[in-house]
Amino acid sequence: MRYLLLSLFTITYLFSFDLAHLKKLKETNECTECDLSGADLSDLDLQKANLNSTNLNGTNLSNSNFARANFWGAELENVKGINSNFRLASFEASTISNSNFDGSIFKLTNFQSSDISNTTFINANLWDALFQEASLENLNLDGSRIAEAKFVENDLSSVSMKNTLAFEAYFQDTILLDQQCKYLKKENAILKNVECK
Amino acid sequence: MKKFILVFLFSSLSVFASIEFQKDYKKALTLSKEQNKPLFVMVSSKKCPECNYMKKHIFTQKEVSDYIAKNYIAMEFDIKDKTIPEQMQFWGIPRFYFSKDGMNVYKKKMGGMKKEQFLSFIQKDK
Repeated sequence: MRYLLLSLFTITYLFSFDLAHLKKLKETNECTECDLSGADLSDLDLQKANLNSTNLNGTNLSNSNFARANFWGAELENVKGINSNFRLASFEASTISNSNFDGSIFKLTNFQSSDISNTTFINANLWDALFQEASLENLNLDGSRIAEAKFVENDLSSVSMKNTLAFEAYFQDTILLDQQCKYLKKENAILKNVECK
Repeated sequence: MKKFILVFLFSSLSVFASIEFQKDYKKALTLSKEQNKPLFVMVSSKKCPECNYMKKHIFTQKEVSDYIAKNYIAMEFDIKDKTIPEQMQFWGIPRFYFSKDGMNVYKKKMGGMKKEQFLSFIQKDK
């Protein structure tokens, strides 16, 4: 019982956002270096929101519009972001882990120098997204669309790409598994200086 | 040699087909009524890479174009067209709508997709 209470307290403490920060975001569309951990940001129109360096751990971002939003340096651990619009948003230098972005739109989204791990993008639209120098570990891109996306200096050997639309996706200085290379070539992806191991 | 060229041209044409999109919604509605076929509406733009991918690489595949021609009246709107019906207005392109009367949309989807995904989508809940 004591253990249960302690766990509940720890979880509540870890994902307890600052109400003033949430109010600020909703009123000004901006909240940089804020603590919004555990907040419910679903079904909201937050396009062009500035969330630079904000703690978004444990948030629900589902069914919302974050087009052109700025997530530079933000922390996104245990995030649920299903069926949302992140078109032209920037996740540059952000950390994303143990999250779910299935069915969301990331067209022309910037993931440059981000650190993404154990996250699913199943059936997501990542058309023309930029992954230059991003660390990508255990991503699930099954059924997603990465056509014309740019992958430069990444290790994609732990990334799942079953039935992924990769037409003219660009891979340069990346590490791929041999079977991924074969699949991507069939998809008319562009492979330049790629290691197929 | 002539025979070879003719055979080649014929086989090329049979592989690389395309969807004939109506550009006039009133005409598309009339054809839909006359031929008793639902409308397949695409909202796109010339500058949209996903739209162009669908047009150049998916709609040119015979299996797809034949299926659409047999079962639907295809109509294309440019995103800037002010006559796009209200129920087909939404951000993002390409968008695909299916309607039996031009008023009610019974199926919709957004984004470029593979041939198999597109066929599976249009054949589901036909």
